[in-house]
Amino acid sequence: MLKLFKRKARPVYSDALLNQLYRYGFSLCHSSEQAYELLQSCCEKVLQKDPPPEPLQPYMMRVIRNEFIDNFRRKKLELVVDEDQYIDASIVEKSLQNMELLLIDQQHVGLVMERLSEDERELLYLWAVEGLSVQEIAITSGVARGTLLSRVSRLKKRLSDEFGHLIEEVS
Amino acid sequence: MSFGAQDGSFKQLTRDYFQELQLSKKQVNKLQGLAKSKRMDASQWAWASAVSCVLAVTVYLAFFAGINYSAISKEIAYNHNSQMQMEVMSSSINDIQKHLNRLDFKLIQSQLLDKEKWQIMGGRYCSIDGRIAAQLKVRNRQSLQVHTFYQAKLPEEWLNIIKQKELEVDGVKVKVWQEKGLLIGLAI
Repeated sequence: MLKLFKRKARPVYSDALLNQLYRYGFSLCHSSEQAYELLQSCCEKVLQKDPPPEPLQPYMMRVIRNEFIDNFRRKKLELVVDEDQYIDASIVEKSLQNMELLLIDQQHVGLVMERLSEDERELLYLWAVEGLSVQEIAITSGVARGTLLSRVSRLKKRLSDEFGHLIEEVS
Repeated sequence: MSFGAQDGSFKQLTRDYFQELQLSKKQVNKLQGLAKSKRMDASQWAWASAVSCVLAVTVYLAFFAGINYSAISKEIAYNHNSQMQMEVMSSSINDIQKHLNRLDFKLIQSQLLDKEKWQIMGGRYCSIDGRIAAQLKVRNRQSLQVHTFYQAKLPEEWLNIIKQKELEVDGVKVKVWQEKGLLIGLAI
C-alpha cells in the first residue's frame, strides 16, 4: 500500500535553468512569446517522463528544438553537399574562433540578430552564450557536423558581406 | 565607425544580448508551479487519497445510497389505489409466506403494527423499486379500515439507513421505514 504513495522526485526547474532554456528558445524563434510557449510545452513534456531524463538541460534543449521545428518551422530545404569533402574543418573551426575578434557597436547587435536566420542565431547562441565548440554544437543541436561546418562558413561570410558596415574585424 | 575592443567584442555583446533576456517572475512561478503540482510527496499522496475517499463516500451517500422515499411512496400509493385482488387470503403470515414462495426474504410481523390493533387479511406479489415485494392487506380492528402493507428486501447499501418517512401521495398517506433488514411501507 505504501508503495502507492512512493513517487519519484519530479524535476525541479530552477530560475537559472528556465532562463537558460528560454534564451535558447528565443535564439530559435526570435520571439518572447514563442520562446515562452516552447519552454512551457517542454516543461510539461518533461514532467510526463518518469524517471526524469538525465542530464536534464541538454534533454530539454533537444525537446525545445524539436518542438520549434514541429510547430514553428517546417524543415527548410538546405543545400547540404557532403560538406566534409569541400570544407576544411580546421579552417571552419578557426573561423569560429576568429569571430571572437569581431567588434560591433552594442546597439547593432539586436539589428544583426533580427536579420539572421534561426539556424544562425542558434549557432551564435551556442557559441557565445553556452561557449560550445563546433563539435559540441553538433552534438547539442543534433545537426550533422558537415552541415554545421557549412553553416559556420556561411555565417562568417554573411557577417562580413552583409554586416561588414556594422562589424569590424580586428587583426 | 570606431569600436572599443573591450566593450565591443561581438562574442561578448552577443552573450550580453541573450543574457538580458529574462523570464518575468510570474512566468518563472508558473513554470515551477507546473512541476510542483505534479510533484506530491508521500504525505501529500496520503492526504490526497484520504480526502478522495471522504469525497467519494460523501458523493456516494448523497447521490446513490439514499433511499428515494418519494419514488417508493408513489409506487406504494399507486399499488394501494389499484386495489388489486389478493392472491392468498389468510390471517397467518406463515401461510402467506408459503404461498408467495418466490419472495427472496422472510415476511415479518412488524413491531410497529400491534397485533391487537391490526389484522392481516391476505397478500400478493408486487414490486417496489424494481424489486419483488409482498403487498399485504391489513385491517385496523378499531376503524375497520383496510390498508395495504408492503415488505421488500432492502438492498445492502440501504441497510444502515434508519430514517422513517411519512409522505402524502395522491391522497394516500404513506409511511416508509426499515425493520429487520426489510423495507416496510404502509399506505393509509
